[in-house]
Order: sequence, then C-alpha cells, then structure tokens
Amino acid sequence: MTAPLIEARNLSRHYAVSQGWLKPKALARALDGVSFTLAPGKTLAVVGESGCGKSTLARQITMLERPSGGELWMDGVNITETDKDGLKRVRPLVQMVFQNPYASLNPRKKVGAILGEPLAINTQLGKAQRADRSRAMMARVGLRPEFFERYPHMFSGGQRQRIAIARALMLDPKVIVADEPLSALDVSIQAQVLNLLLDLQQASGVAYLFISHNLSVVEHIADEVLVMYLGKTVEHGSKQNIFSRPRHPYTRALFASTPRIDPSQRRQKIILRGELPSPLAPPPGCAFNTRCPHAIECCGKEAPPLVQVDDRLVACHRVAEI
Amino acid sequence: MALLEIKDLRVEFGSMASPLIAVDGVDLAIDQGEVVGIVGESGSGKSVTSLALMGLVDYPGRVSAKCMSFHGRDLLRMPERERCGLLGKDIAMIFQDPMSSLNPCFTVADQLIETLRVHKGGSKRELRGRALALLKQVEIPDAEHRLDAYPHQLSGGMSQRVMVAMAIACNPRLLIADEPTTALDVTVQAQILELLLQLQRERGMALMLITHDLSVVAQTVQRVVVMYAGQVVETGAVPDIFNAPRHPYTQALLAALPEHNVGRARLQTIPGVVPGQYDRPRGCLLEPRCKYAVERCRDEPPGLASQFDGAPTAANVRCHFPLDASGEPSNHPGMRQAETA
Repeated sequence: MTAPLIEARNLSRHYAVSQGWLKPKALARALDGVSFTLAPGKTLAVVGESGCGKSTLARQITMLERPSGGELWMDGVNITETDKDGLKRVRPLVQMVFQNPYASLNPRKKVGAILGEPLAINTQLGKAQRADRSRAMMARVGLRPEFFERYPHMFSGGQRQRIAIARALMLDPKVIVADEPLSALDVSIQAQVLNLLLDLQQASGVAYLFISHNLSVVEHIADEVLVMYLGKTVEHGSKQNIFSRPRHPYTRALFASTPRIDPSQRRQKIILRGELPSPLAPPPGCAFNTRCPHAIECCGKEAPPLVQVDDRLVACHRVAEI
Repeated sequence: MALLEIKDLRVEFGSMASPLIAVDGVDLAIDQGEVVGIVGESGSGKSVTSLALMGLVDYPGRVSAKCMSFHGRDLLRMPERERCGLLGKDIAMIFQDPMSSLNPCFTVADQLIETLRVHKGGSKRELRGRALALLKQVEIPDAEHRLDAYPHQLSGGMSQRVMVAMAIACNPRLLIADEPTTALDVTVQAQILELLLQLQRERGMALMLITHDLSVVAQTVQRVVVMYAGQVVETGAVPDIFNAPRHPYTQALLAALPEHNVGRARLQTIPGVVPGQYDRPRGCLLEPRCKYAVERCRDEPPGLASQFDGAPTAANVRCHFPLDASGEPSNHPGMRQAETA
C-alpha cells in the first residue's frame, strides 16, 4: 500500500465563542478527535448535516487554520508542528474548490488572470509561460481557448465551476478539497462536472476530500466514506460496506431521509426528531442520543468510542444489537 | 372542475422588442386535494409560474394568460381587492429560503398574527391563541416560548415550520411550496416533506410542490409537470413518468442522476446549457441538446400532444417523436433509416 498523503490523528479544532460581556467564553468543539488517512488517487467523502464540522475539517486540511489538538501529517510533514517555511512548502499540495462558483471567482479578474495567479505567487514562471499553462489547463477542463479573456459573469454556473476546478489544478496539487462542489448546480450540469472530476482524477492521480450531503453523488465518486455528527466520526469505512449496510443509527437515518426515485431503493422511513444540537452545549454521552431511535440509558451517560466493528469503524454502544 | 386552471400563461421580462420569455404558454390544472410536482432546472420558469399565480411579478414583467381561474373565478380579471382577499387565504405560498422570507424585525407571533388579522380578524388574545395552536400543529417544540422568538433565534428547519404555519393559517385550498426544502439538510427535509403531506391529507388541500430535485418529486407527489426553458415538456402520473419517460429531456435528466448510474464510471450527461434570452431556438427548445433531434425539430416547434387520447390520466408530451415504452423515439426518420440500412 502506498504511503498516505494526508494522515489526521485525533484532529480537533475548538473555538472560543464569546457569550457576552464579562461572561466566560464557551468552547465550541467544531471538530473533536477525527482520524483518517487519504491515499494518493483516492476519494474520501465526508458526509453529515450542516453544523457537523465538515467545513471546519476542510479548513484544517487546507491549512487555513491551525488545529487546536491532534496531529495532521501532510506528505510526511507534521503541519501542527512545522514552521512558516514548512507550511509554505506543503500548502501548494492542497487546493480547494468551493461550493458556490458565483461567489468564489473574483468578478474583476479575467479567467486568464484567475488561473495564472497561483503560478504567479508560487512559482518563478514568466508571464508568457503562465499564460501557456493556463491555456493548457483550460483545455483539460473543457473550456474553450477564447474564454481566456473573459470575465466570470459571462459564464454559466457549470462553466464557472470548471474555472474553479482549473484554478485548483494549476499547481498540480496532490489533494483537492471539494466542499459541496455540485450543490449549486443543476442536475444536468452536475453530471458534467462530476464526470470532469472523475476524469481528472484518472489522468493526474489527484486525491479528493469530497464534502457533500448528497449521498447519491457520494456513492458515485467515493472510495471511503466518513460520516460525521457534531464534530465526531460516527462511522467510517469503505463505500461498498457503508452503502450496502449502514450500521450506525445516524448513518441509517441519513440514508432513509435521502429521497430516491426508484421505489425499491427507498429504505424504511426513519424520521429523526429535532435537529442537530448546538455544538456549544452538546448533549452528555453519545452526541446523537437526543435524536436516536435506539437510545437507552447508558447512551446519555457515556460517549461511545469509535471501535472496529466487522469491516468498519462505528461509534455506537448498541451497534451489536441493532 | 379543477381547483386551479391556467391556460396559456406567458410571463415576459425586458423590452417588448426582444423580451426574455420566462414562461411560454404554460397550461396547468390542479384538482382539489391533489399533490402536483413541478420540476425543472434553474431557468425553466417553474418559480415564475408560481409568482405569476400569486400576482407577485412586478412591473417590468408582463403576465398574460387566456385564463387563470381559481375555483371558477379568473384571477387576472378580478378587482385587485378581491384578489388580495384570496391570496394568502385560499392560495398560500411557502418560499425557498426560510431565513430570508421571515421579517427579522418582528417576532414569530407578530408575523403569524398579521396573517390571521388581515384575513380573519379577532381579539388580540384570540389571535395569539390561534397562533399558538398553529405552531403546535407544525410540531414546533416548546411553542409557547417560540411565539416570542425572533427569526434569528430559530434554526433553518424551525423557520421553515413557521413559514408553513403562516401559510396554513387561513386554511388555504391550494398551497404552493417553492423549493421548500432546498436550503435544509436531508434529515430536516424529510421532516418538512412529511409535515406538508400530513397537513395536505388532514385538510384536503391541494399542494403544488416546485422543486429541482427529481427524487423528492418521485417520493412525494401524485402527478408531475416537467418544465424546460419556460415550457411544459411533459406531464403525467408519477410512476409512469419515472418508469417510462416520453420526452427526451425527461429521459436525459433521469439518466444523468448518479442514482441511475450505479457501477458505471461516467455519468450520462446532457450537453450544453438551457437556452438564454438571445439563443432561443426557433423550433423545439431542446433541439440543440437533444440526441434525437432532426431537421424538423429545428424548424417546427412541437405542440403539447396527448399520448393516449382522451384518457383522464393521459401523459402529455411536447415532442415530435415522443419516446415509446422501450425508451426509443417513435416514427423517428433517423431511426427508421438506421433500421432499413
């Protein structure tokens, strides 16, 4: 097996949240002890509801923030301990594609300038070389060469997302963090962009950390799936295993809530009560116990550890019974 | 008689000389207590149709229709006052983004009571009691306290429940839900859809569910209307449309879903984008993107033809060569040539 590109060990990120003047600051555990590895050319999908810490995880992986606990190894460098220069070396390895292509492109820059900027900052290439590379990249993501001199507002949503993907690829990264890259797009365009992502992975061997709430998209693109709830991993395993038989009650509820076209694929309805609790005051014990249909007394007292169950990791006291 | 009957609805924006046609001759009929889904990509005119119905298309936009009648009364030709009395009472609407559709300056109670006061009236205490009952009906926990909450104190799902409570406050006969769950998580989406269906059953109201999510439609409604670039391209009962789509667009849209491509490396796609203001095709609007398109499609716009004449549940389809049960176009010249060759 190849060495992992990214290895997160017990990665945590806590935020101090102001409660008001003179009141003590509360601690929001946005990310609380998440571990995973990502191998080259593979796709790890992170699923969960809004507020579960998916985007906080993305901010740690892209090194926009320093984790407040745990270790994060990136291509052999422990970025929680390394200095500025070390960070500078690994940062180009990870690039990001954002959710909303209408907001993530600078409206005052032409496509050529948007694509050339990562090179201008991180390499010694001259202007002409940067333009050449940008044009080559545009061809790779299926944008016509005459778009080079155009502004983002002249493009449709799907084309803008292609520009955003091209920009992320300019530095030949090893990992692309894609935070809900398809959710702002229409179905027919979604399929085009999803195909592009798969083609690029095959051609360049880039690994994806794919954040999404759309389970059918995840089923299509992922190799491994990490299900998060309130900053913690609740289930982690290969796509085949998790999709064929979800074990954690939360994963099951997610699957059951996802609408399906084919009636035979619909799972028995499990309608969860209530919504995600506030990360400022997580319920004691298992974070899911307030909404879990299988919760018993001990779930409200003791947090379940993430343990190996058959072919995956699950954090649930009652996983053996249900 | 249908509860709502729209014939040849047109909505245009921009100049008279080169208008942007948002809705292009839409016919729609909804029966009492029926659940109808309208699906389409962005720009297909599904939201503008509902806005036109609610009289919410403002000045530069132009709405015209042969007939837009609700319960036998023509909405376009009735006096403004009468229409105002109808909208919000008999026809109510829920919008996409609950966070921005509630007024941030007023409490939940203020906003709920406003609807009740305008259409029903009553004493302050009475109105508050009714507002509380409504919140309980949409299953908001701790309803007494939530009455005095401001919208920013509510989560997305909770805000959408308040929107639903406002919409059903006056017992509407038709509830229009425009992308009611798009901004919400899947678990909350399931809750809200269940709530809408439950209210629909209890009150026997008609529900018009507008969404871009085909799987939500498949799971929720009885009859579906597929729109593309401002036109209705196909209508029919839910299992029929999803099992054997008649229109190439519906077929391609379904084929593009990851759900239908399990185990395949690449998804099937629809090339190109929805036509805009300046590149609207002369003939069939799907022609530049349709894999079955021939000469005739480019020149001659197809009408909305019934597949099975006269049958009440007939599927209607706007295509020169509607697909048959096997998913192949019927009477298609290209196909016939291929067979003879």
